[in-house]
Amino acid sequence: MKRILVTITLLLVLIVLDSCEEFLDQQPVTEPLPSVVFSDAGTIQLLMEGAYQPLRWEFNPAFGDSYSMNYIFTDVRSDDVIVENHFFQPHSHGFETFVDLTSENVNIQGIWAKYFAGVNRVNIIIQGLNEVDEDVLGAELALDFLGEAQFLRAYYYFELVRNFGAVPLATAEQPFDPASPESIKRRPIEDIFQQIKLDLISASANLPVTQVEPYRATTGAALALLAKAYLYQEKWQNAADAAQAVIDLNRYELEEDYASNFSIENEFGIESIWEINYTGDPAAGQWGPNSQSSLTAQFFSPSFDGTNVFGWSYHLTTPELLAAFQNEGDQVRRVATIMQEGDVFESQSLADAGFNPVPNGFLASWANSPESGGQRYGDDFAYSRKYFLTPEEIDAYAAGGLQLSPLNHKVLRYAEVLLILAEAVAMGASGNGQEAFDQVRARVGLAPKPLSLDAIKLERRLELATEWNRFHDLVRWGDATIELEGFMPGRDELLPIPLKEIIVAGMDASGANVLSQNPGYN
Amino acid sequence: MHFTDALNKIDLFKIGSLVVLLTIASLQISYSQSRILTGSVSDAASSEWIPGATVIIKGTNTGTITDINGFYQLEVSAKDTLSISFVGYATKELLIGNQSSIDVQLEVDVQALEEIIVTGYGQTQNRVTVSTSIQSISPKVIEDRPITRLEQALQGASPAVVVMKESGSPGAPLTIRMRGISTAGDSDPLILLNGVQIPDMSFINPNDIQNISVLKDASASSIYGARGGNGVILLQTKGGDNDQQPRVSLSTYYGVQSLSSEGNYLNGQEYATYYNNSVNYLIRQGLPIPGRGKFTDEEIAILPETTWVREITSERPISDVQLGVTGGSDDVNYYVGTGWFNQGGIIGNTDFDRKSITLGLETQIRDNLELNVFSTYSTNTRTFIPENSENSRLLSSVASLPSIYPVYDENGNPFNNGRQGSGLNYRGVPLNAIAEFGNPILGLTHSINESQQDVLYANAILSWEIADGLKVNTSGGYMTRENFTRLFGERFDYPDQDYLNEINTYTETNFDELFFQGEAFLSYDAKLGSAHSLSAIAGVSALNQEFSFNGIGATDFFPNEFDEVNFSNVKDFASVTSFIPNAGRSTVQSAYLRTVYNYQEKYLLTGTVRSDASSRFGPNNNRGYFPSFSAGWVVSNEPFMAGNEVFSLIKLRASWGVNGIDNIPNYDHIPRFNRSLNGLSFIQADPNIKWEQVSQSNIGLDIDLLDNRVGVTLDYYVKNTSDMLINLPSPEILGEGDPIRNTASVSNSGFEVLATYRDKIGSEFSLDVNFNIGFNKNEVTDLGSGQAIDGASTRVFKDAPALTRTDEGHPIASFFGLQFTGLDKSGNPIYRDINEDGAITDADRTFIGNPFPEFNYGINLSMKYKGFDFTAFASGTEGNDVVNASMGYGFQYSNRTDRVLEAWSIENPNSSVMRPSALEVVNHEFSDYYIEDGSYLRLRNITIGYTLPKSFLKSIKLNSMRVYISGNNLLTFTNYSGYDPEIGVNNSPLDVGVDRGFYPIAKSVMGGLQLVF
Repeated sequence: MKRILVTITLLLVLIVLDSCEEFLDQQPVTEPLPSVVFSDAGTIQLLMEGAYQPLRWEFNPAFGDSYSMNYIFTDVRSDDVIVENHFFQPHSHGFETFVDLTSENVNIQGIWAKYFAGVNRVNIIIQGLNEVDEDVLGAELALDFLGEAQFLRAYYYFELVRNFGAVPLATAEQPFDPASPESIKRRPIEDIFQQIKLDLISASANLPVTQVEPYRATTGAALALLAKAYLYQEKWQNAADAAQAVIDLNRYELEEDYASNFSIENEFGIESIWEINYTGDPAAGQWGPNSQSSLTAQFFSPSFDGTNVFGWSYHLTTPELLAAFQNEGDQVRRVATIMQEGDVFESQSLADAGFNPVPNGFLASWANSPESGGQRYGDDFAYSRKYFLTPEEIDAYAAGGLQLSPLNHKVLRYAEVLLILAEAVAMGASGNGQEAFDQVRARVGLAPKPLSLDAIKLERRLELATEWNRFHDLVRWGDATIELEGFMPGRDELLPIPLKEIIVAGMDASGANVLSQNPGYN
Repeated sequence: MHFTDALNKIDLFKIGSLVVLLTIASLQISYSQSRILTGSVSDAASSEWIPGATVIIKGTNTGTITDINGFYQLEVSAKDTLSISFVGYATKELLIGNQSSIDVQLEVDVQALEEIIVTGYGQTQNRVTVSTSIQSISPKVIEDRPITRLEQALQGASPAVVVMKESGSPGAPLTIRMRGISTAGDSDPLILLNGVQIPDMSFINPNDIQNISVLKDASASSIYGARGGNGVILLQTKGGDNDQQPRVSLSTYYGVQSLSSEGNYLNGQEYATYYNNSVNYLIRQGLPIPGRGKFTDEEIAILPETTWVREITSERPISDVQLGVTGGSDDVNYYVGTGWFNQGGIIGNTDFDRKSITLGLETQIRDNLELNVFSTYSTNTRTFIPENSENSRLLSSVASLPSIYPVYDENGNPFNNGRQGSGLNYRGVPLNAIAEFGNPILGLTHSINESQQDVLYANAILSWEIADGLKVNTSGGYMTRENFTRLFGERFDYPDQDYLNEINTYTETNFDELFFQGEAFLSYDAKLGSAHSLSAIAGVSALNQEFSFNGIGATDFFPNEFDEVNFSNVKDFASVTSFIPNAGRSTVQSAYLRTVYNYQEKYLLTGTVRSDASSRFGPNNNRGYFPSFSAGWVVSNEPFMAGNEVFSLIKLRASWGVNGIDNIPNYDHIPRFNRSLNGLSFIQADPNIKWEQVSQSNIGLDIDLLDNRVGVTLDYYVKNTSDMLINLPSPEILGEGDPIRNTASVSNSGFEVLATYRDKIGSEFSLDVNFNIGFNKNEVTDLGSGQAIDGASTRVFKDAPALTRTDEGHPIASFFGLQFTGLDKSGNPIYRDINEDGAITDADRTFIGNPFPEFNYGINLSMKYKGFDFTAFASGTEGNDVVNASMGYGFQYSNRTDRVLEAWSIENPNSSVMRPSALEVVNHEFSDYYIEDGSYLRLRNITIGYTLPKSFLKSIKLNSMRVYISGNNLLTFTNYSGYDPEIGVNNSPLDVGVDRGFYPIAKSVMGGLQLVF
């Protein structure tokens, strides 16, 4: 009896010990491990897609009602665009007024999270590429991937540095070390621009001039962004040289019709250098990290209800912007940028419905409420047109309707490269700035004008209105204080570092916050 | 990963086959000189047979229950002592000796019930000798009143258990919390059906359950160690009896349900008055008047008086049919049960239907070898609507739309209350457009959501007694659950009302789960001498859980009927897209040991230790050790208490122990990549995460007195969770997401009272009253990073703020917002300027409420007089707060509760209700102005039954027959202004007590019949 017992007990123990580790070693079934991802060109490709994805992040539910569309940080924050509907854009209003723009603003958390997600995704790729077997990718593809990663990192850091100034800097070679507060401290603006420069120069060499999938970064994109980064650093000759290098690729031209840049039928046109690609895929959803579409069209579009066009008209362009077009006699770009009564839309259904693009007081209920200050817009405020889709275009291209807009955003256009060259030359660099400048004007039927900084300032505003530049241009030129009501110099040039980020990053050995705050914020 | 794979890896099967082999090898060995004893049990006074009396051999678990005629048959040996007991009678003990038949007469007594407590692993203990904190919930609770889901049997029945409704919708899950909230993550207790871990109780037919044990303290639950941190609930299924004629029982009820409360929302007249007062206010203040002007009396007369909630609800039936057969021969007994339950939902076309068939079989293969098998198949179909949701405002529309808006226009189309720009009016009376809240009829009519769940569950236990008192047990449990969900949004067009949905949409998803548990354990029961009693178990177990998810969806189908739509009739195949599939597996491997000892039933000791290893943690940290001890002193069994007449039981208990929690996603210790529809992204992970530890101390006192008429159980506990796994906020600059880490701590302490009073007055009347109350205090003691965790939001309030905050020094998920201090002299709200910076900003938010109750309680009253029985059961909570976010405070023209009838005005300047503001969006910051007391007392059930006399039944060849009428939720006492104060968890554990438009609970009246043939 005893023997049986002892035997059983021993056997049980043995069985348990024998099978334990194997039984308990469960690996993810649907989520690939790093070793799997970097052993196959297809999965690296997917990873690359993932590195582009933060570009499309517009809404981050993790922070509440957090919107991180770039126009909020550039156009709303300038004298071009206002927030009409405070109710649904509660955290965007401060970008217009510079009031209550605190370090707890969830939009700011959103943009911070978005671009650092981009940086981290890129660094994971670069790190993996360093270790991947040569025959997995082949030399050409490996270089292409590396170039794309470098380009994206440069772009993400460019957005970070122009919004936040000094930020923590991580590369694949020098990653953040959570254990070392030193590694996640903010690095001077020069260091960030230095990294941007290194990445873009390397990317321009690694990347092809054209890509089969046109939304992928190219040599031209890297050079154009490099030119823009130099412009922000006021390295005029470098900016001019980089811009000239783009011109010398002989790949890009101005569209004959300015408006065609913003037409869904002309994505990746001859003027386009780099676009954020939206497919409008309904399956990817809206409002989330997987979204493949833009909410911007929904937010900007008129809410006309003669019958339909159901935009939410959250934003309107300002009378100042309209006046700038009118004073310059710039009818072509005005029509493409701002809707006015009498404008023609190539849309039978709009014509049938008698669409009149004058802000008609939809959701006036909110605008009227005492909280929003009552009636705050008249006829001079207008709907923006660059994000607009006609009902016919929606039917043809946007399976998910206006909320899932497939209309790409052109981040870098050839016209901007020409204006960068012109500005650099106007500021003293050598190069054919006047010709570039006149080319941009001639395309919209405007007479040549002698090159000057003032002329450039106006031209950039008119050419690039609502295209994510205006605020940073004003800051660059030192004009923000003059042009922007409520702008507090010494504070509002930069956004606050999100408070949550400062708290969770903790303190260093000396008891100081690892992440310091920008001046004027707490 | 398939099941066969799993089998290959689970060496438990090795163990199983080993045990079987050894069993067969030893069948020749027979240890006991046993024989069969027969007899009957009857009432000493009336000589009536007592069916269901327990007949056991003292000091063992061997025993039986008398059959319907009061007879029993039991295998005994001469030296055994027979112990016969039955509720309400004094237990009798007899030495068997040489007798082959013993007829026993039991004396009616209000003496202690020899309550048998199920402690798990096939073991039971007499209530007197239990030193841990365990409560058995009697099957009476389930049998005597109609219960639609098993969780309801727990509601109000134990002071340690809070059952929260997630919805009043038929088939909706219920949340169970034991002794507070032990973790910020998943706080669901561990549930075992016949010793096998199951994910929840949703599939169980309550009629199949014999016993529910609630293991409250750590000493009771730590035998389930690792996963017992949130508490443990043991369910035991019914069986038959040996030597019993087949007995067929049929029970059925049918009833009608209706809305229990229409809430305190304004009616049309009141709304119009409130609206006009709002206009008056603006006029006096010289402010612009948005929208239409005041309503004239003529207009009000024309406008409808729509009670929205009435429009969407209707009376719906509820019915249940249960058929059961039990019986047995010498060696085999069985239970076969089948049930069909159907509950219509009072809102729209919601519905729940559950069919199940169950088989329980106990076989005595040899004298010393027993096999128990239990299996059940259950299929249920649930038609549901989205609720309490920010995205679907179906139910919040019901509360938010004023009564002056019609449901339908003159032509019978759903009225579009949000129609813009076209002069919205009803019969010529202009109305303001309310765009934010759609006509709920539209959603109810044109979308159908149905989910079907099929569950197959089976378990088997083989017990082989290899020596006196020593058993080897092998058990296996297996469960699969398939959830198939179909969602359909119809195409519709009401051109008169501009309601148009040109494209219909349809999705199908599958969520399949598989559970397998294998177990082998030795159990030993012995009486050493006359004074020492020892029982022990030691064993190993392995658990495997798998799930997979997939789904597809498409838009624009040719047919527009839910029953006809499928993916073959989509217009364009290109629109068919797949959801991101998901699958996973987790395993746990454990070893455990428990010894229970008592000396002369005076000094009690229990010690357990369990070791668990979970695949949810990395190899270096996957194993946790969970010890526990408890001790008890039965003061009443001491010699010095011998003469005492008052107390029949005084027992002091104390226990300490540690449990674990691994309720986290499967692979959170492995850095990996997340596959979305668009590329891959990296998921950070901390490879060093480990078990959450829940250490709990408990002291308790059990007292029975006055000839057992009164029984009181008191428990005090302190439960500390450390190494709590939370998504520790980490800087975005370090990467996306916040990996789970062991950083936080939370503490729960509480006090529980369970009191019973039972008495018999004369021979015909008996009374039984149970009361229980549980207090719990919850506090987060450490959060690791110092960054509070926010949860729950709604757009009804300004800036869609987080409503709850989990922070150090406060209960988990406390409400967090501005503090309303009163009204200024124009009737507008004033908030406390916490940081005294002269402005009211987000920085002035503070803790303003707690969604969890200070205490919960239940009262159960049952009386019997001759054939009549009466039971009433009520339960309630006190001190829990609810945010009434069912109305659109953030949207113009939305409805209000009747609180605004007392709104501030020049005539009523002392009011605490802000001035009329129907036209504006003001005061919609989240503040305690919107927090209401969610305390309630609800009469959950009241039943009157009549059992027909035996003499009559004999003539119609029935064994027993009972008829009853029963009412559920007939009365609710609450100050809450919404439809229903019972607001449970929504989506996340940190989203509790927020009423965004809940499906209100139904009241019902039922008639039932129970027959035994």
